[in-house]
Amino acid sequence: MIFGMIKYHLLVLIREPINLFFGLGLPFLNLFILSANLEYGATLDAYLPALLVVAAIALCFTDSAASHAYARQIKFLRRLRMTSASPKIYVFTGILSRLGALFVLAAALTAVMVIFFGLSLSHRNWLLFTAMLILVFIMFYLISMFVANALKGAKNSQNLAYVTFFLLLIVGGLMLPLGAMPGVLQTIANNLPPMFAINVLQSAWLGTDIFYGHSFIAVVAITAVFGLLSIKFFKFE
Amino acid sequence: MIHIEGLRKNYGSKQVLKGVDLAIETGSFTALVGRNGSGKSTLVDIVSKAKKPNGGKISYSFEESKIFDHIGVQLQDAQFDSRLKVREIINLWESLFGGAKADLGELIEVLEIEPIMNQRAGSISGGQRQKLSILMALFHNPELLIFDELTTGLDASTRDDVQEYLKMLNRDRSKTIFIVSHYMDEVEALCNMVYFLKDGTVFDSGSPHHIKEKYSCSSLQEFVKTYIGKVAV
Repeated sequence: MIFGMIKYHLLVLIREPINLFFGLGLPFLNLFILSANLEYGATLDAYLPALLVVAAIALCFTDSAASHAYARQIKFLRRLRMTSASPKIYVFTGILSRLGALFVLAAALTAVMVIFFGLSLSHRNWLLFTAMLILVFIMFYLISMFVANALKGAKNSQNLAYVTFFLLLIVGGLMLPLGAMPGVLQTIANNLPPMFAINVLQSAWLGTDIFYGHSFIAVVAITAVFGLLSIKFFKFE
Repeated sequence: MIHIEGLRKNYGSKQVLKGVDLAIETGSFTALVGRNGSGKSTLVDIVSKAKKPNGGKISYSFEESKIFDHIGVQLQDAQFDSRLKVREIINLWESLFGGAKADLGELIEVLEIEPIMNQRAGSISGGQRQKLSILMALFHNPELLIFDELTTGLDASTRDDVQEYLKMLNRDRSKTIFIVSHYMDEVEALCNMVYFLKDGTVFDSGSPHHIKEKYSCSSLQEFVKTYIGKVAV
């Protein structure tokens, strides 16, 4: 049953062009745009966390949230409810499949950086980085599940998922260089989940103190709050 | 198998079901008939646990927590994920039920699913979707089958095949069947018990023969036209 549900989530992921573009294509596109503007490959590796955050947001909002809202809208979830697929299994396999896709992407991005841009993999704390990547993904997943269920109308929830995705991308400082944004927007961007996620991942990736600043605490707090909210509002019908 | 007493359901201030009494007896082929908006689908939703009633009592002859082991429901308005192929949906259901408990080959043949196996659910016609929906209801070989507008959208030939198949399931394999239908000829041909819903309550019930005799009507269509009102098809 678990494999069947994972296969379902993955099929939905790869059959939706917007998921493929933003979740898997855009990080590579960004990598090549960035690489053209940098002299040294060594500097490029500081961007890996940001590229993974873009992918995580895309996998959570354009895939998980939008697909969940769509499944609510067409009442496919009601069909699933009449099988042995419980909400727990649906959510668990949803997380597992998207997380799997994110790890494959992370491995591919790292491989490209190593092969083409001379990235060094030595002195990395892989365990910490993996743990932080999972934490960050779960934070975005829980926010996206709240968004997918918060509104009563499933169609509106789907629209809200896309709006939130683009807001996080643009206002969150992932599409424009932070320094190029007006002061007010910089302050907003610095206090939104994407920036906290980038800070935490960068610390784990570059081997600096992840407890420096308040990003780690913010990620944990946002995860906890949206965990409760997504449970409260979850709809499997 | 299922006994309903005094079932009530409101949507805001609108009372849709005002105390419905109904029984689906084991081995029966029961129909529910009523005008659009009379609460038929609401009743199916409540029986299949998709909605909660505002009052009344439902007793199941099986363990209520395992309801979907015992019933298969074909839903009127629920669709399939349009991005999945029909074959993938069937595979998903096989995985969720640990394999098809019913004779899948037989179902695929009767419902003519084979030609659409490699098509995406979003590209199949309404009738083909209906057939797939019927297949999903029968997939785990449940004792009770609930069909909300069983043959709506099917062409005449498939409609006959599906009706014959369900008749055989009821007669030879002891399946209990409950249908919501707008087709009175279908109800007359298949059912041994029919409930007529009007203004949120059961107007009358009985076998088609009993109803026709009681109201001196030549057909159920005539009875419905005279006493229930226009039933949309």
